[in-house]
Amino acid sequence: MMTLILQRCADCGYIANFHRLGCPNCLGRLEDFDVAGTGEVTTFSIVHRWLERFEPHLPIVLAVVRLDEGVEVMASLVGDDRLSIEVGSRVAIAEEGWSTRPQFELVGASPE
Amino acid sequence: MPEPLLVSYGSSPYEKKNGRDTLWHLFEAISDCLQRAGVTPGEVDGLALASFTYTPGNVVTLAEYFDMRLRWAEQGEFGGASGVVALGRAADQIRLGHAKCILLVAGDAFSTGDHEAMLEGFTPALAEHLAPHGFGGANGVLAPMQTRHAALYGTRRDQLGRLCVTQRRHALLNPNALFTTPLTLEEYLDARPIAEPFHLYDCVMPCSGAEAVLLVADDLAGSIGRPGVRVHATREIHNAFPGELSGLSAGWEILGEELWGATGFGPGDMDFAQLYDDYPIVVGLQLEGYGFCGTGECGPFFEKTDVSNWGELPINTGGGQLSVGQAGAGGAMIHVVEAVQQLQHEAGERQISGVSRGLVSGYGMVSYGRGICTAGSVLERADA
Repeated sequence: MMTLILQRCADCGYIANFHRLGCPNCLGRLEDFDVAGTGEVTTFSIVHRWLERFEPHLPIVLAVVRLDEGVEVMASLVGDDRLSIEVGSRVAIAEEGWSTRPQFELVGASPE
Repeated sequence: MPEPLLVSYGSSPYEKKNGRDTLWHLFEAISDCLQRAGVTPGEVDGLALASFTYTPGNVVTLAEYFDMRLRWAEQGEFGGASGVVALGRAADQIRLGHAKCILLVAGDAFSTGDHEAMLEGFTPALAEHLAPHGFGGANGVLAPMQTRHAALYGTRRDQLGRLCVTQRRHALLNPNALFTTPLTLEEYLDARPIAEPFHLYDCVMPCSGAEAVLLVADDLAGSIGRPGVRVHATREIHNAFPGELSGLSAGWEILGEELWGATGFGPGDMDFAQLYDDYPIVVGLQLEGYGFCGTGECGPFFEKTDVSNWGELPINTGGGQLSVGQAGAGGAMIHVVEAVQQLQHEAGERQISGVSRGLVSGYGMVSYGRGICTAGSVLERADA
């Protein structure tokens, strides 16, 4: 199973949403940690057109996900039901995906 | 203290296909701008360049090409904000007396394919974290802002589309525009999806072209004998909200407050607004940030405001990137060129009558979840 690894500062607890060499908050040491992999969609787009090598995966749902750890990341979704995404949808890291980066899938019922 | 005045502008003939190269377009825009002012390259002592495709050349090799001796040079690395950023810095250089005749030029030769390939590696964060997701380029990164705006405020495509329809009307009166037929709201709404909620006419068409303006010290402006345009105040801000993804501001309310404070003007004093238009929602967010309408109200604003050159607040009076074409970094300068042309009352059939001042705003450098650069400038005709 794919896990999403982010970095957390050993000194101040800052979580980096993309890879850094050191903590941007206190310049302390960042340590990798596995996030729980669950979160909520804050916004998204549905990509219908992109470079040829991604054509088998279109339409690609690209979401901003607020992880339960509090930090926001941007990632794509997999799953046949991905087009039913809404702002507020719950997501979790998918078991399998086509990207070299961890991808999410919709979980549970969307909030009304 | 010398006062900087914009005295001339120029453009290269835009091309849809990647025909002639970047240097050709830069040369054409520079020639057009300098010849209009009756200035030779040898008189230029400051140069700012923004270009993604003029490689391995840069601003000083461009100076070498034109036999220019420079006392100030700047390479714009701020995407669609590079033009306004350069304008503010160049104006300060003239005030300091470091240079007195500064040429600002921006342009690229791009096809859609070139543009997409470049975007995959545009910034380190984007290359590492977004490219593997098939993120859709700038369209995919910025479309979530519109999704968010619609979710929060109920903003509709038929509201945003009115801006695109109006900009197309302006473009039909701009000989350089690559779009030469009217756009109806129905066509806008029926267009194919690109990165929802963006559809075809929300997106710019990459093309080839270049834009230039000339900024000189006031004592030199007299001998050039063209109407001068004052650079009242300019502010830039980068990465305004660290860590925020798909936020609805790149710092425009901060720029607005400072620009209105510095000039004593307010949004209601502007005769036009030239706002960076990679997408209509980005124009709407700038309108909100600079205070032309309330937060979240750009949809109703487009619905009830005539933003044509014959209306209450003319926006993107030359057709903008959406209807002229996005010539790469040239898109950072196209609004500055249009503003100068309007303020010199040389915009022909699309001229706004009696125009004396306006706002120009740039935005760009698409990275992890947002554009990270923006800048705004208030310009005013010197005899106003």
